[in-house]
Amino acid sequence: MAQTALAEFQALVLQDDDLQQDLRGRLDREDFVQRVLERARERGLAVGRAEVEAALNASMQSWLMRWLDR
Amino acid sequence: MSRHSAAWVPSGIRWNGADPMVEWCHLGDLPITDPFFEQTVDRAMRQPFNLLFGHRTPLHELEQAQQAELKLAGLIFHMSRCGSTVVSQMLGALERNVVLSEPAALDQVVRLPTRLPDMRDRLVPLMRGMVAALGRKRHAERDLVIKLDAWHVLLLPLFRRAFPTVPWVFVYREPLEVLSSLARSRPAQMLPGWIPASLLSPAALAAAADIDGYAVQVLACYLRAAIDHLADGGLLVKYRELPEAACTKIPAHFGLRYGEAELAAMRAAALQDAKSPRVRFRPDGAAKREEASAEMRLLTETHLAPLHARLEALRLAQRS
Repeated sequence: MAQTALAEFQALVLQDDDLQQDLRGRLDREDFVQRVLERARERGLAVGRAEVEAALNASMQSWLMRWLDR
Repeated sequence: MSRHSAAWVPSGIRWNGADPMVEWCHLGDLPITDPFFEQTVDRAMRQPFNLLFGHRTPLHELEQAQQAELKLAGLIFHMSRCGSTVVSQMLGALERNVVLSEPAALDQVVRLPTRLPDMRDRLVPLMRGMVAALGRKRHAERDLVIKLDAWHVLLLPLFRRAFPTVPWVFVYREPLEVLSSLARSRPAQMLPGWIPASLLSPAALAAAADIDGYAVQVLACYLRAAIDHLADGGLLVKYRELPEAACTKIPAHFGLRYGEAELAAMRAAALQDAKSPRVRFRPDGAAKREEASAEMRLLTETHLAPLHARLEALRLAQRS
């Protein structure tokens, strides 16, 4: 199955400390999403806002439910 | 560089079907000063970066890294509700120390055999790998101290196999005060079924239907384990020796030496309530003894007092 643009960007970030530092400092969610979209676009990746928002929500839910998985 | 820069630490083990995976969390500049490591990880994991870029790797990869960048200076075992968090908060007040208080990821490693019995033989390299992953050097720290979950004292031989040269302490308190505190709020490990049956005494297993009776028997198992293994690198610390013991006999046992300014910082940390650092510490031993029921007193006197007396004798012998 083809990797989504978001998955490609996530893999790219995990290999790039500078990009991690840049994004890690964005604690405000809206500010963070904006920066993710910009940085992905600069790298030729068309990541959608809805895709990022959905990933953030799913991840928060997974974290809050972690005790069921442990 | 990659995702494995020192800013990434394991937040815990998650499961991909039957496969255990390490979940990674980017701590950034967050100091590890909360009373429990889980609180620091929780703050980090709720930040947008970790929600989007937190990721998982197969657990077996941990076995490749066996040596922590920080020196693992000591392990803190305890009977719960006995002042061990004061010790971890005092040591953690120093920039040179990283103190991990009950890191869930390490607890999950030692609990793996309850889900995957074949993991039993791989626990030692996995424990070393997890400590190496947790003990990365992020700033100017040098030493790593880990305060373990109370029930881990039942696994002392396993911890000694994993970290045979690392000194350890066992912190304990008047059993009636501990029991009274446990009755106020009971941690998961004091609920029957949480600690593997193979680690408990027949008396503990027989008491499973009686919540206070079970707690007494589990505490008895903790105290017995500390007594049985004390000669293998252990030091006894009684609640009433705190907070000063955290500035004197505990660092000495761990091979750590602190200057006057560092000791002052540690003593300042002890003025606050260890589990609610914004609140001033107030002694509560008398209140805990007063609120203990008659049944608790009888159970304590029958099952815990003799073990406590034995610990006291051993502690006094260590002083001389």
